[in-house]
Parts: sequence; structure tokens; C-alpha cells
Amino acid sequence: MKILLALLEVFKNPAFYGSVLAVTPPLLFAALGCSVAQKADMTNMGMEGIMLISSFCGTLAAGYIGGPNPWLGLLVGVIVGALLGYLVAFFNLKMKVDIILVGIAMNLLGGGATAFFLPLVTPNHDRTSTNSIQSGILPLIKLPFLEKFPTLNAILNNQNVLTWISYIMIFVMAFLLYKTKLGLRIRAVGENSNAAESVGISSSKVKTIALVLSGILGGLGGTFMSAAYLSYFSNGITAGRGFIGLAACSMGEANPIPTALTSILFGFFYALSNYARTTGISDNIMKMWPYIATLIGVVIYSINKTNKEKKRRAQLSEK
Amino acid sequence: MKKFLTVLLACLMCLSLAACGGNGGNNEPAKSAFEQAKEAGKFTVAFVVNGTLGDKSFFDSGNAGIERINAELGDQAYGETIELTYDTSTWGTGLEEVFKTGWDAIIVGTYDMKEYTIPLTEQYPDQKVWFYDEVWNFDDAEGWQYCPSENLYAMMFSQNEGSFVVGAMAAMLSQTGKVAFMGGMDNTVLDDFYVGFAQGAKYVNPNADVNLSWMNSFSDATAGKDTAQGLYAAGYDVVFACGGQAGLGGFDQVITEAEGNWVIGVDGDQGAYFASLGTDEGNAKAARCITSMIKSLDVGVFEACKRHLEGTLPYGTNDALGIAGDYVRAAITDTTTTVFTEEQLATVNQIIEDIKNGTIVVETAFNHEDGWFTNYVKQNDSTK
Repeated sequence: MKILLALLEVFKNPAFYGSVLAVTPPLLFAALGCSVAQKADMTNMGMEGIMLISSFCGTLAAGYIGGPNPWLGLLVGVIVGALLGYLVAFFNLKMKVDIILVGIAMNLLGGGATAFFLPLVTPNHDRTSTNSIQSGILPLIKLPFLEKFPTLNAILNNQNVLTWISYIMIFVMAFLLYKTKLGLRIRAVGENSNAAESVGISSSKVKTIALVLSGILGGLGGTFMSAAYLSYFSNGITAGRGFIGLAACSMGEANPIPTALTSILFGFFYALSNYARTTGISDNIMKMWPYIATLIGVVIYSINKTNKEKKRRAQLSEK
Repeated sequence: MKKFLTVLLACLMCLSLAACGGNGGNNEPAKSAFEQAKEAGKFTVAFVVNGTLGDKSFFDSGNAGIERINAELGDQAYGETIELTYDTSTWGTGLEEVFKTGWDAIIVGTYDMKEYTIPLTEQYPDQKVWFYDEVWNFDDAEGWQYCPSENLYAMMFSQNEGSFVVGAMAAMLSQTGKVAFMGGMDNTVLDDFYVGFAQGAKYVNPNADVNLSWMNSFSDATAGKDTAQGLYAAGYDVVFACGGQAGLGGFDQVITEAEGNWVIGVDGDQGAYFASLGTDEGNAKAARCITSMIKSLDVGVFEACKRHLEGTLPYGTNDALGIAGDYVRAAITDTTTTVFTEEQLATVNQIIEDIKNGTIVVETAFNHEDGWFTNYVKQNDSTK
């Protein structure tokens, strides 16, 4: 009972919802990135590695070129992300390496290369983080008119600019996939690349574009970690967020809106585990929740799907 | 074009062959520093890090001890640091490799490494091992993890004593009467930190509420930042960030909080470290770090080596390294002298003296029956 009251107290606190919005973006970028690749039938397993490397490069650029210049860091992070996305496409489409293997290689490279180069490029030869170079943080969006409404103010005010971009990106990706020619082609190639080829669409070109887009989103997610979440790069800074994004993508069937909602659900439980520490619930149980939620979600989803399938078959057999 | 490339590659191959030939004159491979030290009859010490250096905390401190051995005892001893990285799957084999190499003494420690060390002490009974941060069972044959090694020296830092002091300082500064301990992962050494911290806070303010939170990581700074965020939001205005690199996330959070929220560092002087960076952010972090609970592994490592060479190192015992020998202490930085009044600092010094002369007896998390710690937390943390 005491625990329930304490939980209620957390849910009544608007700052908690602000925290949900603030911790979700890296998951969201990763999930959207995976979904656009998935739509073209390319499983971007290497999301974690792409995020790590672009976070690392972005931080260095922000710190070394023109003093603390996080915007430049963002640009470099995105460019590096795009290049890595292209690299995945190159190895899979041109060199014919299995896409999952390329992804695993990318993740290993991400963890290893960043740890290797970190002491070589930082002035103090830091082994764990770039604390000794100042790479700055992207600006917070201040909305003075919200100050009249304390609840909304606590939720929406002073969020990082990249946080806003991440939520805008949901609609951008939905528009891109469902309302543009490119989106149609991506989906067509993903559904049946032979059919798409037969009407003159180059499937490898479209898949490459999808992976580059995926890399750009991964770059945004990586930069978020080191220029918004923290203000420096540290080894393994993404801490599995790329993989959680991949999970959110498959739960949302790679459709932007459901994928985004799943990411926000993960973010919700993540923030809850931070806020619920002071309620007396065991930390270990709180840490489990996002994964339990995933399991429950997947079960409900597959029950629904099998039911639909059964109905459809029943209808077909009646005819 | 193709021809040009062929010629170029051929040239490169010739050059590289020539380069090999240049080295070929000296057939013996270059000797490592360890082999040279062995030949010179020096006492060789390996410091095995189950992580990587650069944590600005415990491992770096041990490495500093090794450097001091090389600098001050270099004519008799040689020390080297070996990193096993944070990949736990390689720790067992990595440590075995070090045992095989033939170092005169191996320094290793922490709760995680104990289970790997016990079988190796049986396999290499003559190997000298200096183990830090775990109490060893040398006598009780029926007891848990019995290890009757005559060649194992257990360095046990009294982190509870140092934590008592920083706990008292935290309670002095707290406006809300609520302070928090943010640990890496639940193990007896970190419990020992909490026990001292809570007792110290209660010593100054008997009504103090001392939260216990685990980050469940020693390496993920975002976990530390998020944990600290939840704590500050709940009104805990002094947070003891105690968990290596993950704890540094507490410093990232405190600079985004309002004035009057503070953080306490651990193992090394983390406030001084951030001040030494000279960046705006480093200065901001240093200005919020009221003190650090320094656990001087460097002193422990150096003194152990010195005492071994003198023949006075007490093998086969648990050696308590406490506040009395400056093995643990509270760091005094510019921030400390700014935020505390002279009276308060005098009280702190009095507490330190009282611990040294035994007037204050600091409770420990070691050597209790099961469930003792859970009860202890319940008495001190209103949320549990």
C-alpha cells in the first residue's frame, strides 16, 4: 500500500513526465533508424555501433574545431552516421556479406575503435571519457509563455533542442515512408524487391538510401548521448540503447508511429526506474520493467495477429 | 595505371624485405621490462586491474602506487599494471595468465575477483598475493570461502571510517536533512561505505534520512546521472556518488540542479581532478563537490611493497588500513573551505581525531549475520 501511494506520488509529479521525454530520444532515434531500414528489408543490427562511433566523432569535432561547438559536433555526428549507414549497405549489397554479420561487425568495431582511439586523441590520454576536452551541450529550448502553466512548464520547458527534433522526426519519418515517392519505393523494395525491380526500381539503390537514412538517425541518437544527455563521450556511452531501439522497431512492426510509441513506453519505464528509487521498490525490479513490458507487448501482439489470421482463414474457407 | 601500381607494390615489398633484413642481425627478441627486472634480481609486482585505467578513482590510484614503487624503490623492485578490461568473461583466464607469468607478487582485488583468486592460490601455493577490498577467511575451516594461504596478504581499507567523516559533512550541509548514498552495485564493500556514511550523518543530525540507491553499474555514467536526478528531485540535497565511472554521472547532474545541491566524490580526489581540467564545466563540477572520500590504494600498494622488502608484511592476515594511517580520508578542496564554516571544519577534525583514538567506534558491514544490513538500511532510510 505504501509502495502504491509512493508510486502515485511519482505519477503526480510533472517533472517525472519531463524526465520521460528527456530520456526517450536516444531510443527513439535508434528505433526510427532501425524502422526505416527494416521497411526496405534491411535489419540494421549495427545501430549501437553507429551511434557509438558518431557520438565519438561528433564529440571530438565539437571539442577541437572552434572550441566548444556542439552544432558542428551534431553535423559531424550525422555525417559519420550516414557514412557508416552507407558502409553497411556497401558490405551487404556490393560485397554480399550477410546483413546481420555486418551489423555485429559494426557493433564490435564501435566498442573497440572508440575505446582504442580515445586515449590517442584526448590531451590527458583519458581512457574512459573525453572529460578533458570541452565539447559543450546543445541549447535548451526555453518557452517563457509556458511559465504560467506550472504542469506543462515542468514537462515541456527547458528540453534540449535535439529532444524536440527527435519527436518531430516521428512525423517526418511517417510522412517520408507513406506520403513520398521515396517512401513508396522503400516499402515496395522491402515487400518484394523482385516486383519492384520489374517496374524499373533499382532495389540496391533504394536499400542504400534507406540505410543511409538509418545511419543519419543513428548519428542523431549518438550525438544526443554526448551533446545533450551528457556533455562528453565516455566508453560504451550508448549502453545498449541501439539494441533497445531495434527491439522497439520490431515491436512496432517498423511503422514509425507504433515504433515511436513503444520507444516512449521504454522511456517511461526507464524514467520510472529512476524516480521510483525513492519509493522503496527494489531497484532491481524497477530495472526489469521495460523488458517485462516488451515481453507482455510481444505476447499481446502475437495473440492478436494469430486471431486475425484465424478469422481471415475462416472467412476464406466459408467462401 | 595498372603497371604503375604493380611497380609501386613491388617497390614496397622490396623495402619491407629490406626492413626485415635490417632487424635480422639481432636474432633474439627484445626483452620486456619485466624480464629485464627479473634478470636484475628485482622484486616484481603486477597490479591487476579488473577494468581499465582512467576511472579517476580506485584503479588510477593503485596505478599511482605502482608508479611510486618504480620511482622510489626502483633499485629493488619493479611494478607493472595489467588491465583486464570490463569484459568479465576474460577476468578468470586473464588472472590465471598473470599467475603463470611468474611475478613475485600479484596485487588484485575487489569482490568480483575473489572467486577467481581462491582456486589459483591452491594451484600456485607459493605465489605471493596482495588482495584488496575483501575480508578473507584464513582460520575457520567450516566457514565460507576458507582459504588458509600463508602467502596472501589482505588489504582491507576501512571505508566505513572515511565514509563516517563525509557522512557527517553531508549532514552538516544538508538543508533538507535528507542525504543519499548512490552506490555502484550491491556488495559488502559498498555496504560498508553506506554503513559508515549513514552513521556519520546520524552522528551530526540524529533525524537525518539516508537513502540507499544502486546504479547497477560501475561504468555507465548515464545511469549515475539518472539516479542522481531522481534523488535530487526527491529532495536529497547531498549525494555521495560512490561507483567509479558511473558515479561521475552524479557530477553531470548536480551542475544542472539549483544552488544548494551538492555531490561527494569517492576513491580519488574527484573535486581536485575536475578543477585541474580548467574547463568551465570542470570548474562548475568542482564547485559542487564538497569533498571526496579518498581510499588511498596508492599508499596501500606502496606500503605493502615497502613492508615486504623489509620483511614485515603480515601475510595470512586481514590488515585493516584505516583513517589512522591516512589510508582513507576526506579530501579538503577549495570548495570544502568555502562552503563549510571554520567551526564546522573544526568539528570534522574533532570527529577524525575521535575515530583515531577510538572515542567513536564506526560500525562495519563485515562479519554480521545475514539480514543485518537490510535491517540497518531500514533504520536509516525512510523509503525502505
